[in-house]
Amino acid sequence: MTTQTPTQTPTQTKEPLGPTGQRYDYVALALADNAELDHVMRCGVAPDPARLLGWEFKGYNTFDLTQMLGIRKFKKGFYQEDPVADPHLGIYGYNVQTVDNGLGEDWFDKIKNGNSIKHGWYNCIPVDLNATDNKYPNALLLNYDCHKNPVFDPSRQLRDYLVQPYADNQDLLLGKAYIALVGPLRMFVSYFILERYNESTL
Amino acid sequence: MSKPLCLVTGACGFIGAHMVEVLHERGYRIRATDLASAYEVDDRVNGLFPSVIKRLGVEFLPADLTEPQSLAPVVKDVQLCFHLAAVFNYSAPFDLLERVNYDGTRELVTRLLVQPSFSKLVHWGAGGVYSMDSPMPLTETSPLGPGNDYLRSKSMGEQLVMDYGVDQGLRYSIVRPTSVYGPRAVYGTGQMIRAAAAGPVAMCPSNWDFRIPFVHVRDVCQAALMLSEDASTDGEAYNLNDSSELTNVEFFRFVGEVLGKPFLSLPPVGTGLVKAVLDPVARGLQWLSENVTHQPPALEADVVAYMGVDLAYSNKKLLDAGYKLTYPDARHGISDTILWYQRNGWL
Repeated sequence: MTTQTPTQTPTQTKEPLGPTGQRYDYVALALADNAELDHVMRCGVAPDPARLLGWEFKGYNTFDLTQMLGIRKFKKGFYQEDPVADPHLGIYGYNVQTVDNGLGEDWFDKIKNGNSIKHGWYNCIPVDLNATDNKYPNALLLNYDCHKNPVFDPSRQLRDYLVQPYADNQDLLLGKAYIALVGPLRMFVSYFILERYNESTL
Repeated sequence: MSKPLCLVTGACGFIGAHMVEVLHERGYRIRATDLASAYEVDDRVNGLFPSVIKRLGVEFLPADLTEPQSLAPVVKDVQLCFHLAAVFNYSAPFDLLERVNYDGTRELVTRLLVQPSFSKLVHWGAGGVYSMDSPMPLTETSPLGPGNDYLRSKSMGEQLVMDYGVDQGLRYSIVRPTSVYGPRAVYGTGQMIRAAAAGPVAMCPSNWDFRIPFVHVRDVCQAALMLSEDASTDGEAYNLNDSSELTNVEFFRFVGEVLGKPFLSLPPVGTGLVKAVLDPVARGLQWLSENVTHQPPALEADVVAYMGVDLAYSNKKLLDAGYKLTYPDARHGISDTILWYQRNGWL
């Protein structure tokens, strides 16, 4: 629904193009197959967390099962906690439940007690090549093993990698979600597409 | 150069208070007027919101359209007038409706016209002035055919303003809002949204696929302001309606989805039967509301009257005039309105 003026453009070695030779847009990514999306993941650059701050992005899971579960569509928001309260100065994020009404429709937040329903909190960290979650060194890692989630919340097992397919477009992002199993074992769940949508409602 | 002095009549009402807010946000000088009694009541009682005017520190002069002498100080030095004041009650006697909505408008207009400062009137008509037998969508040239005394009085008020335009050179635009909703809406569409949101499940008969016209109150007021500033809209009437054309089923389903409630598609029910049952109930509740509880009734007769009517309005003329809707899709406005209701303890 809105765009942000690009600032510094990160270096990108190869720009991913769709089957027709055009750049992918949101819908094209949402409809692409996993092989294409993996190619885009590898070509993308890590988004600058500072450019995500204060925004919510409309999200779409590509895995068809999410449709049956009513979680095909969602939003992801990014914020920074009060530096006084949070000495780590980390950038955090959250998921927002939305009406699951199809790709062509707008994103509408589900509402409870006068607010959108936020859950699945994560912190945003650069991928550490020496850590377990290092599948995409060119990505930003969204780690749900975060103090904001309840201790036994299953969402703590989620790990998302996030890339910006095109270095000069900070509004369009591609993600890949995994579940952390035992030890270093990770299970791929779904790709997801994000696009800048509205200012954070946090 | 200071912004024009704007008079808002009916300023304590749902739309009037929003009109005051919109003008205040844009830096206009404002004079608000309404019945003295409307300025004294608590918020939400009878859908009145004098606290908005008090909070913004806007000048308030009481007046009564049925007491013309009270209008003299109100119109002094006014440049733009947003005339919303009216008796909005489908069951009010016609002589009261006529005295306020027609005679009162005439008294106001004649006094505005002799003000050297006066520039333009934006007159509140009603989306319901058209004949409901007309082909949909209704455009500004669709045949008129007000279906009740209230709408007849509004239609007469519109014609009066048009006549003053021809005979006296009055500069005016007429707005015809459809179902206005938004924060602080107590009656009508606001009541429908709250009713749909209040139950444990959202439900609607599967055959209720007739459309409901919606327009968010912010769009009503912003459009009125735009028309007041644009001379090319002089002498014209404009439907104020969004672009969504939601059906009843879609509306109730959406409210359920937003609130995470299951949607129950009921077996087909004839609207005639429902209306026959609900109309006397609504009239009884309305009587209790007006005479006993003084709280909004749970169901209004005018809401019942529109059940089963497929209504669609063209907003092409408004959009062609350059207005850009803030809420082109009612679903965004409805979900914002539900948020407001919840945050303010109305749900």
